[in-house]
Amino acid sequence: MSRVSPRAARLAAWIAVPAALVASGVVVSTASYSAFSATTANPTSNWTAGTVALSDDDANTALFTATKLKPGSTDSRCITVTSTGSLPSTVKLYATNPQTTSVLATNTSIKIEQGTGGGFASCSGFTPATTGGTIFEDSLPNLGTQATGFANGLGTWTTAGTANETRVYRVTYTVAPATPNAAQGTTASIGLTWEAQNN
Amino acid sequence: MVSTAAHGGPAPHAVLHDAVAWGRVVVATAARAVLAALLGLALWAAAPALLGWHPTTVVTGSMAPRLLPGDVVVSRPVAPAEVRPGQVLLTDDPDQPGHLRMHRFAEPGRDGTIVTKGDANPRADSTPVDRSAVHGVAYLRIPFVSTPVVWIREGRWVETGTAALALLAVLALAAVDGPVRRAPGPRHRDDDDGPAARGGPTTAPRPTGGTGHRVRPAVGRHARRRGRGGTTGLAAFLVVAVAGGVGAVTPDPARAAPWPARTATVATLSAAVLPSATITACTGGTTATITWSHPGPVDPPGGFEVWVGSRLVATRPPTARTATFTTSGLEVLQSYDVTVRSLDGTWYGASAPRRVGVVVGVGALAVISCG
Repeated sequence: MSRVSPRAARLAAWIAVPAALVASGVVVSTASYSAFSATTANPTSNWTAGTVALSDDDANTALFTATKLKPGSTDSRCITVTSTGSLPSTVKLYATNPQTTSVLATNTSIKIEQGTGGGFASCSGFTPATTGGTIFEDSLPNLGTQATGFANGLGTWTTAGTANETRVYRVTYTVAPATPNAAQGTTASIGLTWEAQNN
Repeated sequence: MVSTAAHGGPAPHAVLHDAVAWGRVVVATAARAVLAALLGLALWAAAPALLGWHPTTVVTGSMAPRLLPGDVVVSRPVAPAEVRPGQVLLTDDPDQPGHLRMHRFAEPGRDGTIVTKGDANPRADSTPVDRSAVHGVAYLRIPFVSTPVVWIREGRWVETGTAALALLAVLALAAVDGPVRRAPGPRHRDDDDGPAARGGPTTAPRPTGGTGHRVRPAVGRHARRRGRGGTTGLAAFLVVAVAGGVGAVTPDPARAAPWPARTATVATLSAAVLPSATITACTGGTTATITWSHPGPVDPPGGFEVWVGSRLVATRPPTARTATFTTSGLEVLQSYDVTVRSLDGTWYGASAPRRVGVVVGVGALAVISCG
């Protein structure tokens, strides 16, 4: 074995640097090509890092199917929303597919509270949260225009993702006592969607 | 003292010594290659920012397996019109202000918006993004280079510390060939190419009255100082460059990920239509009588009103089914519709109209005729 001369050692010491820099460029270009070439099939795999799951206790029935409403009519229903995901997430409530241009809709107010107790079968035992208990109290059309998606959704429910968490929402509608006669026979409907997104 | 060690003559274990020397060179070269590769990746991640491109750290797995947490993705700004389906876009997160999202352009949405979807997500994102919210199209992927950033975000300090120690270890290994590089070789070689190979100025002038032995230590010390300074400087440069490269990338983690879960219900409200009376009889005269029925099931709480045209002519209690009215206020030779309203609060149900006319009677009195 020949002796290592300082010159050879210095040469060896630096010869790897340009090679490594070139290698890093190859890595980046190859990785970029495989990641972004839009012509290849779009793979869908389940993302196993965790789950976000949300359910409610309405058994796929409507929260309200109220008929024969008159001025001053009011009612409340409760719905229990359960988060079973394994990731910490934020749950927001927003309106979907609002049909709220009728005279009835413009004269109907909606109050949505969050708390504990009660459920879809009965609001008996429902207790609004002491802070932030009321998350919406305004006209029905405003619910449809103010809370249109997750970004402007209602509520401040943050789940820890460690165990099942539930929250009960109480929805109350009130038809204004001064609703004009033109509201007779008109209808309104609105979907209420709870969406959880992991943080 | 250096010269003494260097000129100690052939060592008893010269072969072993040479093997160790070669080992040092190989290890240090490999360590330098690793550092250079890291540095190269960091430069790829950071340098495009000089062009106005946008490096981001992928922090969630929603675009797996194409993009993994820890990757740095550099996005190239594009005109909104150039964005097309299939591209991976860096956009403002429409659901979480101040956050960025990197998802694939799934399909055009309404009003020129863009529906995005994470490759690994089962559903498209719930809120479409505006074209103005698109920062760019993902262009470069630098794999794994920002993994420590993800670890720090997630508070995985054990992995972070291990990586930091590994980096320090590689930095240290990159310097193990220092003695080999600095060690003067056989004397005749050193005399020939020692200072020249340094490439630096020979600061120690050859003493006029001295011997070669007097010179070597001066050059040796000089070389050692330079060697130490060079290695330290290189290490510092690498640390600063890697940290700077990663640091330039960290401010904008593209969280991507939201995997939305939803549940929904619906509320349908229908207003009542109040039951209305039916006019059953009309008797004319100077005082007309109108009779009606009401379907119930209960009498209207507000009672009844009789209207002739737009004129309220009689108000009756809930149980009443008949009313009278005169020609007072009505114009001769005019026809009117008579309606009976059943009242409930501000609402009423109106009966079908019954036609009546006002004809000239005896004297000033007019007579109502039922149609």
